[in-house]
Amino acid sequence: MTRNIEQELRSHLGRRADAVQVRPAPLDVLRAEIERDRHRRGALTSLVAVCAVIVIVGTWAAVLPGRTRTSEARPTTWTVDTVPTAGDLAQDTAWTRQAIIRLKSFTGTPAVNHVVFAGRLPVGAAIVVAQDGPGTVHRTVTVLYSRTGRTVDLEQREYFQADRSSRTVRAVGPRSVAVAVDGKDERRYFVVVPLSSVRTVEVSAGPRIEADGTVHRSWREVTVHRGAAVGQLDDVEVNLPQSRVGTGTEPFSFSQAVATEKERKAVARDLMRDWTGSWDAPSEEIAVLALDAPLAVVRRSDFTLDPLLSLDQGRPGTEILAVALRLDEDRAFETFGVVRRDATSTTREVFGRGRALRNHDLGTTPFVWIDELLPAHRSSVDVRVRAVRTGAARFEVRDTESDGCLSGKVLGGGVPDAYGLVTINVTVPLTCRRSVTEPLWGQTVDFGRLSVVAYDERGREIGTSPIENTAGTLMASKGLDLDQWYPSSG
Amino acid sequence: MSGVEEDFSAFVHRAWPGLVRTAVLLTGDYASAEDLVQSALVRTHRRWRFVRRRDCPEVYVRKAMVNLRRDWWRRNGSRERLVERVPDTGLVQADGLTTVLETDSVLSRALDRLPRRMRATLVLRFYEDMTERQVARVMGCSVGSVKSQTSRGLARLRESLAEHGTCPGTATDATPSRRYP
Repeated sequence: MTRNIEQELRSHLGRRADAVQVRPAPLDVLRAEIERDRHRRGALTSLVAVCAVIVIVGTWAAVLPGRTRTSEARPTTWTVDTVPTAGDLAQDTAWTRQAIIRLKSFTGTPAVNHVVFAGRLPVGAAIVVAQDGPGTVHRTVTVLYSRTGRTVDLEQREYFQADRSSRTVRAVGPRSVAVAVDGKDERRYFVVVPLSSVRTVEVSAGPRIEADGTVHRSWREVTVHRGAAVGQLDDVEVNLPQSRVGTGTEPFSFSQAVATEKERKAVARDLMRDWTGSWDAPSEEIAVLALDAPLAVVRRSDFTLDPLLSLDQGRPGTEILAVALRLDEDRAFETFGVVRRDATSTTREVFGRGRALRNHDLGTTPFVWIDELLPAHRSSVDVRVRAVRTGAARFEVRDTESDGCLSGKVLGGGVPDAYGLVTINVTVPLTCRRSVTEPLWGQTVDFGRLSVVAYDERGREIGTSPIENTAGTLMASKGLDLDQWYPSSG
Repeated sequence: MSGVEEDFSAFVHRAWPGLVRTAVLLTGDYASAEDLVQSALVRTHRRWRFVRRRDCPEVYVRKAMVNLRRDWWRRNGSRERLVERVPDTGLVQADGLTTVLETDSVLSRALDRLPRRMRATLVLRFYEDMTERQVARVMGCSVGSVKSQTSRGLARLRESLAEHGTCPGTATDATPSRRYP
């Protein structure tokens, strides 16, 4: 078939642009930036000569520890920009300046807002820097690590991009900057810079999954010295570190997985090749997706894989893969991935969870996720819940608690399709919102008291799963602020 | 808030989605696109009293976007940037895939590989439907340069499609519809 390349391109660009889900214009951020621009330009006009000196001095001062370069009209002030630089190399201006020069060779980002940490680790040294992104909205946190401690050996280990208009940032929480750095000695080190004045912080290297399915964490108290708690993370089977400053718990941010991407793909291919489930083998795409999160935190040598469920509705439709990662004979956790394909685009999500998974429990509970969430009224939200479980004849969304909200009532239900997949649209009163922390991954779950219950043909209850993925994540992906949207929920 | 400011806010509110979509095509990722539009709007605001009198202020913003993008390329070259999520490029499978999806996948990758200036030229020509003269004005170059960038860009895309088993036709002289004055 002969086609016109111009028409092809025109159609392609149109489809690609239409597929972009544009968030609302961040007018407040823009206004603040305009004010900042106006202020800067006004000052430049009236005090050109003076400003020339200030700019020269300011450029040098910006890389000095403990200084911020610009802050007066920043749309959302990061506490991280004002906390004094932590670490035992904070006062070593020569080291810090050389590190900044090294940093710029990696990121290419010109403005350094603040050096959060510059100091020695048990092995080597690291520098943690907050920077502006290429424009006005986004911020980045970059971590460089040097095995020898010398600046010439600094290598970029972490790079987190954050939306300044959102409150949730992976590397920076409201209470601390907590990063984990993989040393070249194959050990993992942590730096926790508390954003308030505390003497100690607590650190947990990861959760422990018990035989009864419960998840526990052990915490270690670490003294804050020169503004930072620094140490080596314990060797654990599930590497999901968290820090605790005061009463607030925040996950560490780290991008270095315990398995390389190549290793992860190899595991996915092994799973496909050795697929023993009673369904068709999954696609490589979903195998990689479903295993990506657990393989980032659990070493390949520490688990075996059991297939639990695989279904594919084709395009358009949904593909789901659920597998159990068995840590030993008694202990395991499930993970499942969902790939939704419409005519022109593909949406991928992965969910991991740790729960009671004794042998007879494997695969008996429904796999549940929030597919869509829309603000309906001031007092309620429309939620599209999807669930799948082999052998289920009916599903219900139920408030599982006996007091408050709907007190055990059923919000909605549905019959699964030929694939065993059900879609249930429910309107959830805001009083049902109760944020709980999911124990394994440490995510905040916004509807922790709502569950999907599966029934067999005789109406017997055959499995229950809480709705575990977070409404907040969905709202953030739409550019909406969950807290603002729930004005009365506290 | 003054009338001028209200006018600007209304303009931002109205034009934002279209500007971001164009910026995504220019930059390849959403975060950079938002940043680019923000920066361009700040520049536009400086001259808003003049720009607002124009029939189509979006043209001014787009020109600012292209200029800012060009500055950004100059400053930072072609360094790879890490992103949290890998952009969706669709699926390519041997069976059960429509021609549209396959073409999209090939074109998407081919566009991402184009030099950024060439890519910007194609986006302005074939997404924004600008004439060669308008593109030249926005890009700050000659019409001849736009023609050669367009021609070479299309040739590369055609080659990419051909490599994947299709035989695209030659470019036509079809005049794009003109949205801009």
